[in-house]
Amino acid sequence: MSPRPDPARLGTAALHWPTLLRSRWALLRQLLVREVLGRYRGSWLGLGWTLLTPLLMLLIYAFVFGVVLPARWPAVPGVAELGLLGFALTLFAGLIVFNLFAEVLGRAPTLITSQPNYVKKVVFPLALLPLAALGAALFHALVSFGVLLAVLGLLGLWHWQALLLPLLLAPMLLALAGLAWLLAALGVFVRDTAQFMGMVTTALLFMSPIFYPLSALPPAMQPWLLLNPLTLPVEAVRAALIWGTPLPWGALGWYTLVAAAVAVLGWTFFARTRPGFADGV
Amino acid sequence: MGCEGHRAQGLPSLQSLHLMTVTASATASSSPPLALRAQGLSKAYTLHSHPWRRLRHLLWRGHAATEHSFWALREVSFALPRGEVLGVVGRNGAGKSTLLQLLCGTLQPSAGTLEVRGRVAALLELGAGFNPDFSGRENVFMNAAILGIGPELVRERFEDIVAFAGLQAFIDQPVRTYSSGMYMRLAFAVATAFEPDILIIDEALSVGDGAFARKSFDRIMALKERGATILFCSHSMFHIEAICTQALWLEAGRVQLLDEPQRVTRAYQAALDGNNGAVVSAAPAPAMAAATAAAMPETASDSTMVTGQARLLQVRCTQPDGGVQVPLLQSGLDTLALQVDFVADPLLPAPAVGVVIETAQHQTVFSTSTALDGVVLQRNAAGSGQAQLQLPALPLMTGSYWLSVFLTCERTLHVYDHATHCLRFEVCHSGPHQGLVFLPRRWNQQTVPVVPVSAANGARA
Repeated sequence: MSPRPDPARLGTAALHWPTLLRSRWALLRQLLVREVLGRYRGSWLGLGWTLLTPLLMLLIYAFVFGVVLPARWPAVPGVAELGLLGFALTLFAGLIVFNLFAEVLGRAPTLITSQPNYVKKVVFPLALLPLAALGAALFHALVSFGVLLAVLGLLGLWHWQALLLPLLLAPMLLALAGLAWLLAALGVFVRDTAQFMGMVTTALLFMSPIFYPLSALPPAMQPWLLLNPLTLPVEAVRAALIWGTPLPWGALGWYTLVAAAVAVLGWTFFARTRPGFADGV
Repeated sequence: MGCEGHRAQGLPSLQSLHLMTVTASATASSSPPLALRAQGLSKAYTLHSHPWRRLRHLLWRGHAATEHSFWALREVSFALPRGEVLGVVGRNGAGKSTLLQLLCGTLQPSAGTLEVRGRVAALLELGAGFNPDFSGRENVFMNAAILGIGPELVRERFEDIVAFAGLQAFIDQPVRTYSSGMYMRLAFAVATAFEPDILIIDEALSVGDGAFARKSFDRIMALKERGATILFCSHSMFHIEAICTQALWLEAGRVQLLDEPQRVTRAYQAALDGNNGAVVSAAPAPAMAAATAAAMPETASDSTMVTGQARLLQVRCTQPDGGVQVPLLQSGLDTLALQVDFVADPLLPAPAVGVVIETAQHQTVFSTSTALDGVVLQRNAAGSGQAQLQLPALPLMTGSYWLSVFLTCERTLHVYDHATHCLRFEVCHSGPHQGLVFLPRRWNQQTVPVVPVSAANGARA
C-alpha cells in the first residue's frame, strides 16, 4: 500500500495530472487576480497605484542621482541628447527589474505565515502562493514596462531587441520562483527571515547597476557585481530597451543554468518542509 | 441542484487524487466499495524545543528522529463502505479532531495509511478559505477552486448556491460585512453544492440557526440518502444511535471499541458514568454533561434561548396546588404533568417534543419524544401547539431530578430549540428501597414439595 502522497508535491499524483494541472491553473489564476486586485482594493485610485508608485519613485531617484549626485553614464547616441529624461528612462528600466525582484523577495517570507487558514484548516496547494506573488509582481512590472515602451516609442527610441524582453526576464523569473519557495518555507520556521530580507533588498538596490552603469565600476570589481542576481537582467533589459546594444547571451545562458538549479533547490526545500508548516504557523 | 453528476465526478480534487494509486488493487478484492479505509493510522505531534531543530528534522528525517513525540492518534483502523455513517465518540482530547483533520487532509499521518475515495466536504472549518475583503461572489469561485472545481461548473451552480445561502442581495458585498451567520451559510452552501462523496462533520448535523439550521440538516440528510458517506463526531449518543451504521470509540488516541452504534454508546456511556461519581460529584464538566444529556447537541444552555422558525414558548410542570416552589412528588402516587407550549412554522412538518429526565448527577434516567411514541402534535393555523406529558404514579426514588425539553424535527434528529435543565423536581419515597426507580414487579411464591434426592434428576427435564 503506497503511503498517502504529500499534497504539496504537485507532481506526485501521476494519474490524472492533466486534470490536476488544469484545476491548479484555475486556482492560480484566481489567486493572481486576487493578488493584483486585492492590493488596492478599497483605495480610491485602485489599479492606478500600479502606475503611480513606480513613477513617483522614479521622479525621486532621477532628482537624486541625476541632479544631486550625477553618475557617469556612457553617452549613448539618442539617449544622451535627451538629458535628464534620457537618464530617467535608463533608471526606470533598471528600477522595474529591481522592483519585481524586491517585491517577491520582500513578500515571500510572510506568504505562508500570513495564511494560517490555508495551512491548517483547508487542503490547499500552498506552493501556489509564492507563484501567485511572483505573478502579481510580474504584472506590476509589465504595466511599468508598458509605460516605458510607450514613452520610448513616443521619443522614437525603438530597438528591435525590445521584442526579446520576455526572454531576458525568464531566467530571473525562474530563479525568483525558487527563491520565493525557499524564503516562504524558511519564513515559517525562522521568523527573522522577513526582517532580514528587508535589509537584503535595500542592499541589492545599491549593489546593482541601477543608478550607475556596470562600466562605471573599477574593472576589478565588475565580476563581483555579476554575482548579484540583478546585475545581468538589469544590464540586459537596459541594453535591449534603451541602448539597443548587443545582448550578453553567453552570460545569460549560464545565468539560466544557475537559475534552474535555484528553482529546483527552492522547490525541494519547500516540499521537504511542507509537512511541518502546520506546527510552525 | 444535482443535474450533472458526470462533471462533478470528472473533477477530482486533492482528496480524490491521492487514492487513485490504490483504487485498482483494492476494489477488486473487497465486495462493498469502500469510501474510507484507515489502517494503523497514527499521528504524532513532535514537540521540538526550537524551530531550527524542527527545520533540521524535516530536512534530514531520521537523524533527530522523535525527540518528544505526543501521539494524538495511534493505530486507528477502520473501513467504511460507501453510503454508511460512522459516528466517532470519545472524551475531549481523545483524538477525534485529529482523526477528522487527517481524513480531510489538513493533517498528514505520521504512520499508517489512509484511503479516501471520493471528494470530501469538510464541514469543520466553514469559511476558513474565505478572504474577507472580497465579495461573496469572488469567494464562492475561490473556495470552489480550492476544492478543485473549475469555474464552468461553479458558474452553472452559482445561482443555486446563492439562493441556498439566501444571500442574493449581498453576494457582491465584501464578505467582511457579513454577519457570522451569513458567512456560515455561504460556506456551507459552497461546501455541499458539488455533490461531495464523503461528508466530515463535527458535532452538529446542521449549520447556522433558525430556518437555515433546518435547511442545512435537510441537505446533509439528502446527501446521505443519495449515497454520501458520512463520518461525524458527536457527544450526542442519541444521534449516534439514530443515524450511524457503525460507531468508533476513541480513548487516548486509540480505538477502544469499533462496533454497532448501540454497543459502542452503551460501553462509552458506562465508562463515562463510571467516572461520574468519582470526578464529577460537584460540578460536572460541560462535555460530560453534554454527553449524558443524551438527547441533543447543545449550543447554549440558556433555557430562554429562542432559535428561528420553531421554538419553545413555555415549559410548565403543572402542580395541583399551583405552588412556585420545586415540585415535590410522592413516588408511586403523584403524577408528573408537563405542559410544553411551542410554535412552529406551519410550513414545516409537525415538530416533535422530546423530554429527558436526569438525576442531579446528570445521568439520564429516561428520555422520550412524541415522535418516538408515535404521537403527531397538532397545531393551530398560526403554528402554535401544546404537548402534555403525564407520568402517572411516578416510579422514581427519592432524589432531585432535572427535566430538559427539546423541540425537534419530526424525526427527533434536528433540534430547533431546547430548554436544558429547565425544571427541577424532587421525589421522595417511603421505605428503605434503594436505587433510581421502582421497577414493576411481582413476587410469586409457591410451596416447594420435598422431593427425594433420587428423583431430582428426572424431575429437571
